[in-house]
Amino acid sequence: MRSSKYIEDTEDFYQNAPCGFLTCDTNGRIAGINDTLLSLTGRTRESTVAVCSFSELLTTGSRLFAETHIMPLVKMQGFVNEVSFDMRAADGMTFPVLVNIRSVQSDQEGEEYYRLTVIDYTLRKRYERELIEAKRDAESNAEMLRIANTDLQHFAQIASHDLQAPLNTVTGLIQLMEIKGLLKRNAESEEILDLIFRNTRRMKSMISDLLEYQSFRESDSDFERVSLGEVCREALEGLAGEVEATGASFDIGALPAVSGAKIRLVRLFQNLFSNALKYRSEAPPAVLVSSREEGDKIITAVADNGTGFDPSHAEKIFGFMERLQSRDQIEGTGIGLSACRRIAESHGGSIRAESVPGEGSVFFVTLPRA
Amino acid sequence: MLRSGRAFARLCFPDSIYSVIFEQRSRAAREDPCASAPNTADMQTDLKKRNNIHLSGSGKTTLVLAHGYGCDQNMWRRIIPHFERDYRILRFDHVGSGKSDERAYDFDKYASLQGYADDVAEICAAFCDGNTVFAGHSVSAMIGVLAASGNPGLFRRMVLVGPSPCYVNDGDYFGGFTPSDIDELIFTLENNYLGWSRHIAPVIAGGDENADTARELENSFCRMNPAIAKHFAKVTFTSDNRGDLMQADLPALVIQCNPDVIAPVEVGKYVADRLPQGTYTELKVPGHCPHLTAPEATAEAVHTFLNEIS
Repeated sequence: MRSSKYIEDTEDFYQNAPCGFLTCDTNGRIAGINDTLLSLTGRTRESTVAVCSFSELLTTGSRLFAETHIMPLVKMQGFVNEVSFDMRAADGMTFPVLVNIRSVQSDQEGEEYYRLTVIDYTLRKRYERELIEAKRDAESNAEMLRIANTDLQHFAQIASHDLQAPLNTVTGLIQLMEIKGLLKRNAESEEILDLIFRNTRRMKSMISDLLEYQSFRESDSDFERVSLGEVCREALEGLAGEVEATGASFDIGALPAVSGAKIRLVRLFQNLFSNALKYRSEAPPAVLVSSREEGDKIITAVADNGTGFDPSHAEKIFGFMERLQSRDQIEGTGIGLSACRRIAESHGGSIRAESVPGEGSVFFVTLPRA
Repeated sequence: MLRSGRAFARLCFPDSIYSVIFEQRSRAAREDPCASAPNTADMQTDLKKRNNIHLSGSGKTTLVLAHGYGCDQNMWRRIIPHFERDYRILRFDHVGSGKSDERAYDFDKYASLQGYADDVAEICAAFCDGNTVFAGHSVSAMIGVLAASGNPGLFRRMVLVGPSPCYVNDGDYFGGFTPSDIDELIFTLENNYLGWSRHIAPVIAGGDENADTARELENSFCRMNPAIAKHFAKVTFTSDNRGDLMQADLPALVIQCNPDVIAPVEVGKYVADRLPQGTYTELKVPGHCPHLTAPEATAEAVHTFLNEIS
């Protein structure tokens, strides 16, 4: 049927509209009601029209609200929109309704009447309450998290400080024994001493890594435009000793700027570079840094010619304190790459790795463009 | 039940700015010892702002118009023309309602109707010379009773429109409601204000005059911020001032609609009966706001009462 030919049966539309219609006088007395609303409330026209008032269709609480606030408001401004009431059906069941009200003047006597549309919104109301509950939960959870985070930060600071102090004392005391000649020098004691120093060193770096790891929680409010080229240069400066010792070469191409926190990004790349030096093959390490744009992201690739890793471990290497090698082979805390991931994610970015064992690895860092 | 307004503010909006503002406000009030001694002109200015006071008409007698719960002084606008010629008219908004200064809403002070009664006494002391007729609608009827009983001579006469000294049934006393009805009202309020989160609420409250104009229009009458609406509802509908009626010893007219689903006929009669000088008038119109829906009949009843006595 073409819509222009369609003739609306207005009486039928009124009576069986997909929402309730009601007309009442300014005192609320019902002058007219459609079939939809009658069946919704389980009432008959005879027991309703000219017999009861609109507010009598409501629960007592809703009636209080209607009579003290909504009806006076309609009287004064001529309309209200989206008022939520609870309606009580003849069988005592209640259901939520959304009501709009408009004031009209009747033709005959110029008397004022109110027209109401009434929509049963039981399901929508359930969503609403769920949303409110969810919002409340989310808000209280966020608050609890905030408190827990602050406590944790506090704890980590105190714990690491308290751990570091006795460690420093132990190292110092052993050095003092050595200086004062209290230790017997022979091959065996040299080896034990070496082990002691290596372990204390490892514990120190672990503590400082841990401390740094938990400090990456800062908000992104300190984000600024950061040149990746500069970030890589600073990262390299921090590794000058190792670079020289290993005879490594770095090829850093032209890199764009990203939006981020510089100190954290330097740390990220320093960790990657340091890994490239640490997990090197026989050949002197060669690291290539390049980047490309993808939408509003910058993807930077850090490729090395090191030992690489089994590709099935591409995720595992970013785990917190996860290590593929045992400590005896290569020193490390297993925090470096998980810190990298954490830094990348705190920038709204990501990090992943690919590798061919024996040939090298490539780390892809995605960061937001400046 | 409502001992602590502060606790209630938290209950309504545990995380909202209201409880914060409230804390700051009560602190400020405690710390400012000068706040209680301003001169009359300053006091009038302060009260005008706090209670959005408007004066009109002229006459020897001042007619003070106090609105009920859920409304503001606009409720009286159809009555005013009937009195402006012979009376000086003072209309105002209770703190927390209409365009009053919401910042003055102290959850502790307004945890009982006495807080509002004190405001009325303050307003009358600042603006009226003793020749005062007080007209209070709904909850303001009892606010007037409290003001009158605590300040003999404050009013010459009282008009109580749709009064109820106690909305909740109690033994033989019929107030019309059960405690769970009142809880239901609070629930209905919550449902209607649920979109008014802390981000929107201050706009609705009238703080921001640059708010979206359509919404501005829609909420230009009977405004209330959600936390206050809930608090005032609870205070209004759980108060019991039956014992105070005897103390208000002055000519008083009860105007009762029939039927009135908020303050039933039995209640109006009870009030007139308990007031030492109570008179009862029934209007054969349904509803709870005859001054709005039947202004002529209401004005006539008031005129008759005032002329009879004087």
